[in-house]
Amino acid sequence: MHTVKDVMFIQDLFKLTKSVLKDIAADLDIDTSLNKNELVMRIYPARTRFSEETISKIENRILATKATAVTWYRFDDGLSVDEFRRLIRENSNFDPFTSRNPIQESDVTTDPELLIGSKGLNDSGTFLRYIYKSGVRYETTPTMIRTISKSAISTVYYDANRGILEIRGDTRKAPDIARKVAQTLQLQITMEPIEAPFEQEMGAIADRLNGQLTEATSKPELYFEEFSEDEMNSVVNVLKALDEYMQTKDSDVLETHLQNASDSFMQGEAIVPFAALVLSGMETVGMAGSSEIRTLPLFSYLNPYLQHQGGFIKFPFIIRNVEETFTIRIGITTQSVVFVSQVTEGVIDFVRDRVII
Amino acid sequence: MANIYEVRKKIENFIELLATSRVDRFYPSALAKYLGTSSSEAFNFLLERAGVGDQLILKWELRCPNCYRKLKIDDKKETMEEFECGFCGEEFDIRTSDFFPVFQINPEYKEYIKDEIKKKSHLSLRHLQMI
Repeated sequence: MHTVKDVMFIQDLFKLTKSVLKDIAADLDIDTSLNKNELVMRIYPARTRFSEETISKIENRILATKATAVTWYRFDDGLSVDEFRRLIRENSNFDPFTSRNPIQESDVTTDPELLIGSKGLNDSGTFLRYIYKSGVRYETTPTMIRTISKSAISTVYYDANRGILEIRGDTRKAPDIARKVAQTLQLQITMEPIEAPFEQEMGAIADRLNGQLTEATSKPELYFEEFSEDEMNSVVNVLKALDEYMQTKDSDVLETHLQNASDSFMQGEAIVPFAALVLSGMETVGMAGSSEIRTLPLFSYLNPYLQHQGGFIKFPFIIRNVEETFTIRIGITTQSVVFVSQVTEGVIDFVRDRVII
Repeated sequence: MANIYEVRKKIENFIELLATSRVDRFYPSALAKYLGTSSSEAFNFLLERAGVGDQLILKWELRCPNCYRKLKIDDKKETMEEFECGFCGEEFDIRTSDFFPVFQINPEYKEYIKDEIKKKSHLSLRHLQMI
């Protein structure tokens, strides 16, 4: 049965940090003063010589590199780890857990193909790696132009304890990969994207990770009929008058501008909140800070009228007794999480546990 | 969750409030916040009030997955598969998940509700005069 090190590809090594690569190189007696590309080129052919120590250093990082984007799906009726692996074996024309799909990269199409599989780092986990054609690139030379196919890999992690399928890779390809896994399993089960965590405020996710919401990109929830220039000015004038009041303590000017704005926008009994007027005409609003932004006045003031599209969360996690800070990007519209920092399987496990309700 | 009749009344109030204001359209998340429910549930509630001659008009907004701006679909474009965002230049294959529901308040309903309010205040004025 394959383990994580057996499903490693050269591209995975490129995603490791240079310090990790130097450690591996030192274990393999490879010159550690080489640059990153050279280190990878020398380490990859020597992968069969990895010591137990080297393996333990990289197995929790190799499939959990920087910029890993994850999307989650849930089986309506969980499958045991053995059942999952058996079905994958039975419905593939090779055993992905002991061999590798002999398909050539040039034969890969946009339809994902199972390339290889392995057991996870614990008894309930299974990794599957799919390859697909992700695009075509043109390469020009002084006299000609040629097309080169681009392929990409998506890594699937099945957590049998929770019946959750995690798809790591391009989030736009995730539904295709999920469909492919479902087809391979040939089961009459439903696999649904996990939406619940993304239906709530991003702050709730930050709280569950004991983290801080540091950035939010949002859209105003209300769109108004077109305002005239005078009406727009009446909003700006209220804000300016507030500033003026702070200096002069003269409330007359402020009152006049407030009345003007109120006359412009109040119709019948309907009161349009001033914060919504401030946001009018904006397509997106981005707010970022170096730490928690939920407590900042501008965020608190505008938040009730904003629909969040995505944001960044910083959270602490202890690795080998040392607390480190990690950053994730939440995609509310893509219903995904991107690990911005270099992470480990432990960090992904922690986020999966805390984020999926 | 509150009783159905309570929720229905709240939704009615919400739509009426927006109809009498200068709001043209809104996302389901605005109602979700008002009701304290999820956006998908709010969408279902609103969908019941969208249709020909009803209070709301359901529209689907194409959004750039990179910069989240609302994009206009060019009629001349023969293929709907590939799209280039005119704001950030992102090229992407259009997927159903790039479309987001937005509810426009039916302009006829807006007129109707404003007239109703006028009539009510006129009636109460006449009622006062009679007293």
